[in-house]
Amino acid sequence: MDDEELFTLIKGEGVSRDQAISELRSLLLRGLSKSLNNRYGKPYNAEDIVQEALIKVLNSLDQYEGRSKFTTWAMTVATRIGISDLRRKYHRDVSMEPFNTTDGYTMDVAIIDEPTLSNAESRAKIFTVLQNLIDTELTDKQRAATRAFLSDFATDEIAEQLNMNRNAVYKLIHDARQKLKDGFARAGLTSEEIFDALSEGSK
Amino acid sequence: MMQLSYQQITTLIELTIATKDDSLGCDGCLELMDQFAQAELDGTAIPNALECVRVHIEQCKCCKDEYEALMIALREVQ
Repeated sequence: MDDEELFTLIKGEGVSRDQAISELRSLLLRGLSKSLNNRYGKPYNAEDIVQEALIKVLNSLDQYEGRSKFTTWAMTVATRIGISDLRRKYHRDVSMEPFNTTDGYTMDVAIIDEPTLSNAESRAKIFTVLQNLIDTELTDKQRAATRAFLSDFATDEIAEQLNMNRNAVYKLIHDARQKLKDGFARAGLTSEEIFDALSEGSK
Repeated sequence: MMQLSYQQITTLIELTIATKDDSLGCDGCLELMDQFAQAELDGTAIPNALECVRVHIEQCKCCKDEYEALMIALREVQ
């Protein structure tokens, strides 16, 4: 059954539709099993989520506009659901320190585990500028989102914790990065200078 | 105060330096991701209208993760 036929049958009725849906389910299960199992170093049974993904695809058929193959679009929808489920399970036991409001979402960039002492002076200057920018340029929400991001929280998990949507959290972090970048420029630190100092640190 | 590790500090600095204008955001990226993936699967040139997806994926860990998973899934069923 080719892609176009699959879509046509799924939009139709009767036994052919049931067979087409069954084929789509198998396809999604095979794809999600391959992409999600052990993705975060842990086993994942895609059987748990494929039915939810399939229902989402079937309920969203009117949103498919034919700009990609139907199966590509369906797998995109299914992947979004599968990976969100995976992230929720994966981060179930992690520290919630980044969302602790009692410290004003502050971040300390003091060096505690610097790999070498090479070029330490340049790095110390950069870190001092960074600390100052974090303290003075970023809002509380930008600091909260940034430190959660640095603690390996996914954007949608941060969104859940901060009661925002994923897009807004991405913009929050992106704007924070832009503020820090502008601040480095105002401090006269070029990208090359910063890269050199950091790469020296790893030698 | 949350103490950042050396790795976290360097990650933040590297991401900061790499920051580019991105008007797309996650919502826009998710809307166009299937087309972007299709072009890559087909081995065709990425249309100019989809370059914004590449820029976003380079900067958004969440969407990049999702896109990588999608490509693995699609290649499995091709």
